[in-house]
This record gives sequence, C-alpha cells and structure tokens, in this order.
Amino acid sequence: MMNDKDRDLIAALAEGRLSGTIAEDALARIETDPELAAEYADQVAALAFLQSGQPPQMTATERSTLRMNLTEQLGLVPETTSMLTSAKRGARWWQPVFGLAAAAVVVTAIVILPGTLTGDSADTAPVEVAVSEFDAAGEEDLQTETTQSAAGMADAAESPAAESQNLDEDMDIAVYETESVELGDLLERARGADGRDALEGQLKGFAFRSIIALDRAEVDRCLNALADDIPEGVVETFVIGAEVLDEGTAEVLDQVTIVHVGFDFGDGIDDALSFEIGSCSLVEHAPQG
Amino acid sequence: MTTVICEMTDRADRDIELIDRYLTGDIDAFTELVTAHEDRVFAICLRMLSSREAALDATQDTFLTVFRKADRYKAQAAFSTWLYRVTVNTCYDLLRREKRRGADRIPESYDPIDPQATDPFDAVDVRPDIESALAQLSPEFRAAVVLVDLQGMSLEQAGDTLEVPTGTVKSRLFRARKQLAQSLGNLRPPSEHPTGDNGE
Repeated sequence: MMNDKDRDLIAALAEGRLSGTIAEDALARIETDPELAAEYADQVAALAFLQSGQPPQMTATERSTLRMNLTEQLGLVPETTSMLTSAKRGARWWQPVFGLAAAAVVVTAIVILPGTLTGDSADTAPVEVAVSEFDAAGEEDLQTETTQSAAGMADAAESPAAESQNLDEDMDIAVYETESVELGDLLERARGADGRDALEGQLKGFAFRSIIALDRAEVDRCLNALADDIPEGVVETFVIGAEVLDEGTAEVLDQVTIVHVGFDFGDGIDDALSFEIGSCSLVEHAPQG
Repeated sequence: MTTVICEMTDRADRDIELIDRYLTGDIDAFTELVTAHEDRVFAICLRMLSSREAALDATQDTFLTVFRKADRYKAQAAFSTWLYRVTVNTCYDLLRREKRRGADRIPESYDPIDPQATDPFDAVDVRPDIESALAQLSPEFRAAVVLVDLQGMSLEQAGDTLEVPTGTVKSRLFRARKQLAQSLGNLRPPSEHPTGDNGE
C-alpha cells in the first residue's frame, strides 16, 4: 500500500527533482513494486502531456479589450475617445491632475497595411488604436512637433466612415503605450520586425489606456500624398504608432493626430516617418539603419 | 538560478512600489502592473475555464478586484501571490456560477467521446488538448495542476496562492495527474496505455 512517502518519492522522480544515486535508488524501489510503478507511469504520462502544450497567450484584440475595459471601469479614463467623431472636447479629467492647459495623448498601435502605398481609398473602415495619457514630462516635446489645427480631423469626423466604430477584423492591431513618442525611439524598437506578431513582440511592454479610431483611408491618402518622401523598395508598411495631441484650453480642445509608420524593405522595418493626418504634412523622417 | 531569484525579488519589490504609486493616483503604475501580469493571469484563467471568452472576463474581474481593493493589500505576501489568489478565486466563482446554472461550460475545443465507438482510440478524432483534459478535473485539482505544472510555481508558492498547506498541494497534484493519465490512457491504444504493463 502506497503511503505519503512513496507518493512524494514518485512525484519527485517524475518531476525530475532527483538525480544521481538518489534517483537510481528511487527508480529501483519503484520498479520492484507494480503499484508504485503504475503510479509512477501515470505521473510521467500526465506531466509529459501537460508539458506538450504551448502556453496560451492573449491576442492583440483581447489585450486591447482588457485594457480598455479596465481603464473605463476603474474610472481611469472617463470615456472611450474617438478622435474621428470628437474633434473637440470639453475638459478632461487629467487636466486638473497635471495642472496644465494643454496635454498630450500618446497612441501606439501596430497595424499592418496590406499592400504598399497603393492607398485603396475605397476602404474606409476605421482602424482602432489605443490611446494613453502621456506624462507631463513629455508634453513640451510633443507640442513642439505640432503645427496644425484640427481642421482636418473635423472634416474627417463628418464623413460617414468616421461614424463607424466597428473594429475592422482585417486590420490586426496590437496596442501598447510608449514612454516616448520620439520617432527614432519607435523605429529602434520596431526595427527588423517583419510582421505583426514580430512588431507586437518588439513593442511589448508598452501599455495603453483606451481605444480611438483611425481612418484607414485617411492613412492611405496621406501615404500617397507623401509618396515623394517614401523611399524606393518598400514591400510593406506598418502603422507603428500615433500621437493624439490635445491643444487649447480646458474649455476648448483641438486635436491633432500624428501617425508614425514603419517601412519594411524585405528584411523587416528599417525606416520610419511621421505625418500629420488631415493635412498629410510630413513631421519627421527617421534615417534608415 | 541566482539571476532568476534576483529577477523575482526585483519584480516583487517593483510590484509593491507600483501598488503604492497606484494608490497615490499614478496611472502609469497601473499600466505597468497590468502589463507585467496580464499574460500569466489570462493563462491561468484559460486553463481553469477552458474558454477564451470566459478567461478574458475572469482576467478583467481579477484586475478590477485587485485594483479596487489595492488599499487592502498588505506587503506581507508578494503582490503576485495575492494577484494569483484572486485569479484562482475568481475562476472558482465563475465555475460555481456555471454549475449553478446547470450547464457546465463546454470547452471550445472539446470533442465529445462517441459512446458507440468500440475502440476507445476511435472515439475521438484527435487527442484531447490540455483545456479539455483539465476540464475533467475538479476545480481544486485543476488549480493545483495549472499553478505548479503549467505555470511553474513551487509547491510553497502554490500553497500560499491557494491558501492550503504544501502537503495538500502535493496530494492534489498527485491525484490530479493520476486522473489525467487515466483519462488519456482511455483514449489510447492498449500498447500506449501509461499504466499498461505495470499497473493492472
């Protein structure tokens, strides 16, 4: 009859916690007893089975859903922000927190744009990306990058496509907050990524707080408008991040969106530029590695 | 090994610091905590509940509970121990709720055995996946297997998380593995039965 000591011995041997002569002695003892041998075989079989599977992982969509719901339910962000349907907003909760008249919101998302710079303008499905509040330390830098009013965004808000809040299932998105929105930093983190999963992995560690919608057609339109600034040989384009900047007073805020895209020339992302959506003006072009 | 211990200690210290910062209103602390632990919480929930949808709900409930009760957290135990305890308890609650409804959740990948099949190996098309196999265990046995065998916790950590003595964890693990092996064995040809030659 097996006792607790036998059970512990069998478990330790099956888990590989014994070695050398101790393991040999334990095995010899087990092999002499059919009941113990059967128990040992069960433990080994179960452990082998359990270790045969891959650890489950959240998909990008599950991750963004979780974080959005948490921030909303914990009251960390009062409402889901749609930059396309709400170009101007009233006072926001974090303004008194930071004591600032203007603040920046940082968005980092990963979106693969099928095709390259062909800009199918018929596809107007919104791309969902995540928003996070950027800390006060980074605001000055962000604001100096911004030169445009929200006129373009207001126009976009009036388009039928902008009213849709449905997630475009064809646009896989991973969303992480970045501590820095410097294009060069984003490029360094994203460099070499040759697919959504790789990019997602490289940007893992960023966090985010809620979701907004980016109009895919707007992104494509700007990429086409900036064709002269885009190097030759791009085989795939990724939206690797965006910044939504709120400017103005607590009473009237204008939003400006700067989108960061990375270019894959066949060996992963190796170049990036930023543009302002709406006006499609170039903000910055990071050098190739 | 030393490195691992240092990393774990660093993580534990960092978690305590982040909780303190979260309680003072630091939102970045919240995001860092979620980022650090969400994958593992979700993995535990998925293994416990056998459904991605339910696992996502449970992960969300877990973090909501933890952040809403963050002021009650005492740093006597590691934050992760507390977090995973809440995780397991959240899963227990969901399983109990399912049971009360009288309809046990069928795992997404569950492939029911054909009672008409003469050869047990023909009874299913494929070998059961881990979620399906775990779903056959009681929640308490399942939790022990998930924490120790799948998440790699030590017996002591699992005991702390489940709030039971280490001996109880050992016992549950041993019996859970035995049940798993037997359910697996029932689906294999006799020659592959794990207890085939020695046990019976």
